[in-house]
Amino acid sequence: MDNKSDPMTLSDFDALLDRYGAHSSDWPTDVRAAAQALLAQSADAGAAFREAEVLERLLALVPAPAPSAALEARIAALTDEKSAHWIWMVVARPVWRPALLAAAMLGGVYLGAAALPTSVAFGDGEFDLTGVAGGGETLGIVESWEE
Amino acid sequence: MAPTVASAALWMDLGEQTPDGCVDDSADQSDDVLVERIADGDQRAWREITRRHLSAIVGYAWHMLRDRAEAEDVAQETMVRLMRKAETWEPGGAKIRTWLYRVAINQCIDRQRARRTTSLEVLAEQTDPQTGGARVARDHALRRAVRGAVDALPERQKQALALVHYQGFSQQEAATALDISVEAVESLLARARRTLKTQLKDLANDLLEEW
Repeated sequence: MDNKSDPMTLSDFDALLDRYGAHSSDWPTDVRAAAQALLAQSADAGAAFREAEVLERLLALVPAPAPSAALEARIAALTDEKSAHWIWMVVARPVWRPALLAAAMLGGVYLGAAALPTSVAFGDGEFDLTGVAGGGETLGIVESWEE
Repeated sequence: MAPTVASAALWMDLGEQTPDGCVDDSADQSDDVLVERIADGDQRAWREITRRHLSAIVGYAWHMLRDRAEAEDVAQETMVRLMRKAETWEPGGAKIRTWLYRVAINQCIDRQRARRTTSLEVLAEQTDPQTGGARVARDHALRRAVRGAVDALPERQKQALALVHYQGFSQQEAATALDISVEAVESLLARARRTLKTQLKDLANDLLEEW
């Protein structure tokens, strides 16, 4: 059917049935009138339409199962559990992520500093590092070395 | 005073009305609005979006995988991803429904690649021990034949058929979900229907008289 105002051929009608099925509401509006006109006058078009209808009904014989109660409970539990709430707040909301990263970095620095030795053996002497760890009393090292 | 996000998650479960007397209207809201509320931890919005879409996603996955447990796994993972996506969701863009199906479609494809369903497994699942009477036996035979014909379709045709026929997608929506053109969807559907008509011709002829 080259022009929308041209009568629809049986071949056009078959092709449209294959594309859009037997529900006329799924068909493009601009071809419905021509299809109706053909259906009214062509027994072959009627047979093709009936065949398409039967196919729709055959397909409807295979309904999918509904979600199980267990699945619905699992989905609901995604928000019901406290732990899920934390996951929601942290994972689903990017605004928290920089804060978490900063906290993790600060924690790492603190643990690293706490694990530092307070003194280091060097030859017969020993460096006292508490001044270093304390943040500036470098004289402590020298004195310890002189002893 | 407006409730905080944390308290919202608590009071949303207490009744139909919010603390400031507002009636919950989740059922009337668009998917976009619900997802915004989900990002703020709103459980009612989560339940509503689940009510709207979970069953259909299970249905789509079942039509593609023919395994209920796997279909439910796909649906659960799809919903988990929606929850994670909620905060960054941009309203007015893609439809939630289309996005959900894209996630489900990709999971089904991954699972189909990961397994090789043997015809024996399919037959075992299709066999139903409850065969009381000729009518019931005939219905089982019909379903088995239809499922066999649909399962034998090429994957892309089956996807298009599952979305448009079983999930009620428009061809435009199916095109978006499958990331192909509308014309390509129409072509897939046309080829699927032609094949099915040929495969099921004998059954259809028998049923034409009855229906």
